[in-house]
Amino acid sequence: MLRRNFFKVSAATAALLQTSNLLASSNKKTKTQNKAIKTTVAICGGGFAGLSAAKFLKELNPSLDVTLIEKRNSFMSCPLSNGWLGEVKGITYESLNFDYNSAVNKYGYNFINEAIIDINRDGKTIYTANNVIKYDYMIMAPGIDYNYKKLFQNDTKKAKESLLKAPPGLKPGSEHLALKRMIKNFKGGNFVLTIPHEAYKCPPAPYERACMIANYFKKNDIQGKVIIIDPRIKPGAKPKQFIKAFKEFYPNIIEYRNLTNFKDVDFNKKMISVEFFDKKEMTYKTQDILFEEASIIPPNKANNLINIAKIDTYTQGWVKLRQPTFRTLSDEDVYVIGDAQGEYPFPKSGQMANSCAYIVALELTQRLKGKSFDYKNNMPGNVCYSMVTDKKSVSITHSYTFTNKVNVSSVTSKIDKITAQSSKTWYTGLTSDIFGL
Amino acid sequence: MKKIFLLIITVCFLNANAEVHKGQTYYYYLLKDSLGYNGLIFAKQYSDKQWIQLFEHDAKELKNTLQKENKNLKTFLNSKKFDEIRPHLKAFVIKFASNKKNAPQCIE
Repeated sequence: MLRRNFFKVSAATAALLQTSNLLASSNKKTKTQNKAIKTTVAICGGGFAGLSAAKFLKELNPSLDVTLIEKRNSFMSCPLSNGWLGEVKGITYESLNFDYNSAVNKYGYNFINEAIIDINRDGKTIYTANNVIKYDYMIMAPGIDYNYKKLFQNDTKKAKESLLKAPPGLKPGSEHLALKRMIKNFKGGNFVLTIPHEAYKCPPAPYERACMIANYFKKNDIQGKVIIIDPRIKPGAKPKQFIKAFKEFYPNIIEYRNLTNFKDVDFNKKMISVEFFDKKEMTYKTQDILFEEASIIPPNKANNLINIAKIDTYTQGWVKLRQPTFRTLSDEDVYVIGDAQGEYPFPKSGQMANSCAYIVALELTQRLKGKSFDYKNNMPGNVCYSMVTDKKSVSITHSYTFTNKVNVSSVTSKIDKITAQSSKTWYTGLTSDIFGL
Repeated sequence: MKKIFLLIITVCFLNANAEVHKGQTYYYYLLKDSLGYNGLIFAKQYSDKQWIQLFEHDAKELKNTLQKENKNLKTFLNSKKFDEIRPHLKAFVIKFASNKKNAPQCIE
């Protein structure tokens, strides 16, 4: 199908998105009788990974038929969102949000703005409410889901309540808006942030968020405390720098509770129950902490689209890949990039998503020509910035090599204003690139 | 097949109340200094099957092995404290055993 006609069809579909999504959720198994659309590469998910993959594929091979499928009708960035929560100058809601039109127009890939309701890998077919897409290769970049069952077992009522009243803020959109409202309306007391003990999206996010909330309290003279509940011995990212930042900039505001595990929450009593490690008695003890507001991050796992596609995962719920590639163990024609992969010790970050997307685009382009690709000498790289005050940031860069496994080395910056400026430059550069601005 | 099934059941049963992160904490504070290496290196010494064997019969084989590395551990290994932490330690080492591909995130 011609690209322009295809985009017109998809734009019309996007205008009916609300209705079609309702229909999709109420008639999960209903599949359109529309004629199938044929594409060479289908990309599931329009986040940093999916958008990067679409862009790179079209740049490497402009004639390649690429189709991006995304249910949201606009993009909101998680990187820099904590700065927005903390009212850092220059980070506005508008600067975090993008339309997909510019990217589609610039790079010329097909765009289906609908939710995926089914994937049949045997038939190489993806189903949305109004489209059937047949592919040769599929790149899945669906992101994460929350695993509330690991926190609350079968108490689905409490899980829903926790998502609404203590939003984790790792999935872009309404959770961040809710957190913003909670921070702006905060009058005093404890703002509790809880971190899961297994891998989760964006390792520094909770620590950066604590700094930004504390910064907001400080600037607005709010008598509040930010309590971080962390099962780890030290912060899971940039540990020395965050501990330094907590002590130097927020000594009476941030309380970092390491070796402390979230156990339960009572929203009526506004109380979180924890288990903490008593170093004198070398044993775990329980404690209840009252809160005014909270953000409870449950354990994460790969987005449910991975299960719909019947792709194998590890026990925590991250996707298994064939080393050293990004091809799934379940299907050589299906790639997984971004936060959903669990094969390599790559941080679940925007830059890593972009970097891995480039490698997959290179590999797939070569594969389509019948050529091999040297993954071991094409490893991704990462940079990750975290704001600690409204003017200062810290960064870490990761580089990787592959012997019989992935080896990583990293360099962490100082906390300074130059790094804060670099973080904004990095963000502008990446988003301008993938959105074709 | 039967052996694999039994292994899975054993691991599930023994992990029912044991918590991996507690095992990691207990290792860090109670064993690391005596053995001289971190928890991940400790766990990667054996496969999950080998760890289950080491923990059988009140961890008799594990105690012998660790005492060979540091004889000063004898008192602790035969204490109530070690009995208390044993399920958590076991859960931790099984999770990160040599045949497990659990990848630590964001190594710094």
